[in-house]
Amino acid sequence: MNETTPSPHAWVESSVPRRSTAVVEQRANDSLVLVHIDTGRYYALEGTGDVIWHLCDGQNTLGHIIATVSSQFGADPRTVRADALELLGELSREGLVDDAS
Amino acid sequence: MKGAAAAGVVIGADEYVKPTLKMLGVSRLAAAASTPPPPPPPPQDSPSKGCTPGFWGNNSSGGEGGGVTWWDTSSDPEWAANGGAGANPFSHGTLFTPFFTSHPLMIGVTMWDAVNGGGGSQPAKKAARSLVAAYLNASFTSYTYTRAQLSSMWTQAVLGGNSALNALNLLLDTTNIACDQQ
Repeated sequence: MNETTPSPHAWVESSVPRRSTAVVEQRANDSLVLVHIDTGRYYALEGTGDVIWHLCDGQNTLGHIIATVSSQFGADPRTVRADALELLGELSREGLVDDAS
Repeated sequence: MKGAAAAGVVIGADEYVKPTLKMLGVSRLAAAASTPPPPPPPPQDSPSKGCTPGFWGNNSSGGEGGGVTWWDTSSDPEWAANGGAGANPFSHGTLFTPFFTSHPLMIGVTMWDAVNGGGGSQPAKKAARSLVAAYLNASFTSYTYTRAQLSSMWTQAVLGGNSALNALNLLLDTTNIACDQQ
């Protein structure tokens, strides 16, 4: 992810990630392809990213998302938290999510 | 290893895999709606692989695309001669419907008309144009989507209406461009 914009968002447990309405998605094999209609940029969301993506509904807090993913996959919450923060940082820099809180 | 938490990978009911986001590219279609600086022209010594509607039909400058004659007849010998797998799935005169799920704007339209349509402001025709090119790509060689997936995506888009057709067009347009640049 070389092309980023400044003003990184500080995600905390009480943040409420929300998918941008300017994004369309389509499953392709093992990835979820995201297309930002306004910028024309398109992305592949891989790994457990699609689960986190769909939990970013503007209702769930980041803390809830971490707990849900940890529980669903039997994963260490600390690992999930670190990964989710990294992913949300990239998603927000690309204008794919914002914070509804 | 079950139950042991290694960094980033833990085995549970489903395997946890570190989530990643990869930027694949920029759609020319969508980018045209915003105001970025114009992209640099492609290198002259970088030939197009040929995945866009302009390759399979008439190109934007009014000439024929490089693949026009590869599928103008059933079991076209040029298809295989140029490296295509099996036989071309349809030819210029094949009707879009019922090969693909029916849409009112696509009845009586040939594949040739569809891939050259452009569609103006009609989402179904725009999506159909991208779809025909994508289907030819998927038939010719490896492609992001299989032919079955493409047919299903069209059906779902028809059921979803214009917003879904616009989304499908955008998706296939970007995929075709990415294929073209590989």
